[in-house]
Amino acid sequence: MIMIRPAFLVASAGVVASLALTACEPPGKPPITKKWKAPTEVTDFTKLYSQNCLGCHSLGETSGPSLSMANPIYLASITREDLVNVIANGVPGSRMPAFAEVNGGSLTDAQIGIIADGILAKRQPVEGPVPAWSAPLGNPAAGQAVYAAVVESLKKTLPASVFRDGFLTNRDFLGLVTDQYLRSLVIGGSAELGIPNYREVLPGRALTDAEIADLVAYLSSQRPADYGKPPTNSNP
Amino acid sequence: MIANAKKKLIDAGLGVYGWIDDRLHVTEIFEHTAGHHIPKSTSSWFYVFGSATLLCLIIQLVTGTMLALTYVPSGAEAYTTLEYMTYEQPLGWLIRAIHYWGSNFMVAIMILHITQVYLFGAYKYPREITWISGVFLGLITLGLAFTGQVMRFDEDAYWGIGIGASITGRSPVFGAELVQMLLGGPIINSDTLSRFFALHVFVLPGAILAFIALHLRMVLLKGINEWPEPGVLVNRETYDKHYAAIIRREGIPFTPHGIGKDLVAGAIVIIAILGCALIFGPKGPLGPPDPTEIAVHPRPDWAFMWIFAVAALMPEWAEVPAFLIAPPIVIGFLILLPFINNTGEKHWSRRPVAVLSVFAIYLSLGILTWFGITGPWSPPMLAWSGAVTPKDFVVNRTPLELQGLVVFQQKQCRNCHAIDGIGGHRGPDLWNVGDRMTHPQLVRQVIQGGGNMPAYGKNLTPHEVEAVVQYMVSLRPPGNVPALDSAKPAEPPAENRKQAAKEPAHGDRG
Ligand code: HEC
Repeated sequence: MIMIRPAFLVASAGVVASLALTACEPPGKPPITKKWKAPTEVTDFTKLYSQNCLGCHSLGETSGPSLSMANPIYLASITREDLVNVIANGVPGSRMPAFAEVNGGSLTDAQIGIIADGILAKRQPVEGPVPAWSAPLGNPAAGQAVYAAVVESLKKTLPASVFRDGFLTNRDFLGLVTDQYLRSLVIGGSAELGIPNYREVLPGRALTDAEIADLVAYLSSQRPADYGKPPTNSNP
Repeated sequence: MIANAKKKLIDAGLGVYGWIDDRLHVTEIFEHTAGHHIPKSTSSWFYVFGSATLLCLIIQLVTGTMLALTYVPSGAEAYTTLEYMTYEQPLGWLIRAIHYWGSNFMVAIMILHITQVYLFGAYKYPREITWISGVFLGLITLGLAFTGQVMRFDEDAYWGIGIGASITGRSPVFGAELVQMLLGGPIINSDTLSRFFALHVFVLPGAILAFIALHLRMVLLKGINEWPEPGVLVNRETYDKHYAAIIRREGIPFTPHGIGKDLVAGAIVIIAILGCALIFGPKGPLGPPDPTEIAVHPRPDWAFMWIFAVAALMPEWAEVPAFLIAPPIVIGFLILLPFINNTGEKHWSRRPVAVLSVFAIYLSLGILTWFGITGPWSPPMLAWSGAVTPKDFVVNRTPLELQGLVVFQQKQCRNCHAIDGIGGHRGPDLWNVGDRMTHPQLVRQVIQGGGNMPAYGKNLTPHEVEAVVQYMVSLRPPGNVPALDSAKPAEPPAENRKQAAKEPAHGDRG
């Protein structure tokens, strides 16, 4: 009778294990993707966007305090050139930082291009023409009536509390945002603020190009005189 | 015929052995070392930790030598060779992983060994020197673990040495000179790595082998501690005779009769180290050791995590006592322990102070380690641009309040303050700050800072202050009215109450 000795069993188990080891990839083997990358070498849109933008601009799934970048109307209105320009140079006088390395930011030109393309990849077909992203201001006096109509319409759906302190005419609010932001807000609306886009904000019809320019001009005229000045608080 | 040949062969073999033994005295050496007699009671699972620690050391020596074949200990090349070993060299990652896990197991098993000999009273008469050499072995092992962490020359290593150097720099009188000696200059430079390399591969391994020789010699000379019995006291006059009697009564040769459990434990240790190496892999390297890279979260390996936590938690005045006075006292106490407590009970059931102190030490080191692992020691530097705010803390707010959140992000408040758990944790989570602080209190806090928070007065426009404070006021659980000024009557004014009733709930925490 053949006796199988324990030592033999252990040895053959070892041989089998080492054969198995060479054949398959053990989970502990670090994949090359784990290798450290300099921040300037990151080329993945999702990673770049969620590290640099997502805290302020939602991309559809989350919420953010500034404009969402996954808004079909907004994406139809802005060009790639304008988008790249805003990301690289920021919006002077506002809280939108300049991200290009030449401006003291942390992103390379290539990375800014990747972000712009990634955002524009969210574009969806929109029926009909969309107002230009940027345009001169209209008539503030005419804008006042448009604003009244818009607020009137919004009051039907939004909780009363959001209209506190002057809503969009609040002086501190206007002291913090540019005319361009106001225009983009009126055109694209804001899921966070509960404001529909320019086509749905009034019952039955869209705002015209002129009404948009007038409305922004009216809000702009309410802005405090010290807008854009450096901090004046000199408390200790 | 065949039987005859066999017998001849055996005789010849014995003859050769006899010749060798005559000259080298191997039988005698064997009887005094591997074959020495031990009390049968010590052939127990509790007595395997010492040999298991030694096994780890052997694994470290073998894998360490293999690593040294590739590793270039220069500030300029160490990081690249680590990357090469980890990602390109065939099985280089596995050798790194085994060496890393081997060191973890060595420290952990050594701690078990120390705990066991302490609880079994093994340090008492006549094994004082066995214990003291063990204390040195423990210190050298920790030294190897620390210098080994520096060999993994990445951002953790860099900041690890930085902290070590600033602790050293606190020494009285010779602080600067000691730092110079440790780093090879006033700052971390290429000489620094060479110094730690020399320590890690020459000085400390040499020292550990020397102390192991002493330690094992003492085990052979004074015997392994017998299994303690409650009520059997150690007495300097009678103990040696008592131990000799045990050996006579129930002594067995360590090899081959007492070594079985050690071998099984050794096999388990090897399988565990290999398993961890294969499953979890090596550690790092993380980012390169570059002091200009600030978005890093340096943390030491787990054996030093508790020191890291102590350093982060203690007030500044405690630094000198904690780092320069306490360690010599603790080490001195460990060395003196066998003299302070030389005789008497060995069994743990009769030594409540010993049991309680082990319990207290494990508990406090465990808690500190846990703090070290989970503590928010370095702020997430990208929270300002990347931390998302949950929907309930964004919607149903005024345009101004939302701009307040923009300011909160852009001024990097988020790097230190979370909102509903997301963001930094240096300061409090602000998900319900509107419940706790009034508008004027918030304005003052933002402008003047205080309680570890910087003053932002000079960096914010009045619009920004108003926006961020309004947003803070809006952060409160559903249905709660804003915090009230305690100097005013407790009942909210009528209009305030009306407004609170109209207001929708912010946040969804009930
Ligand atoms: C600290 C918050 C913050 C971060 C981070 C941030 N932004 Fe902005 N961004 C703003 C604010 C505020 C504005 C509006 C500025 C203004 O008033 O015009 C803005 C404006 C913009 C605009 C123009 C909107 C318009 O039509 O008026 C674009 C496009 C934009 N950001 C893209 C990005 C991208 C892409 C990133 C990431 C690389 C990013 N932002 C990161 C706050 C931020």
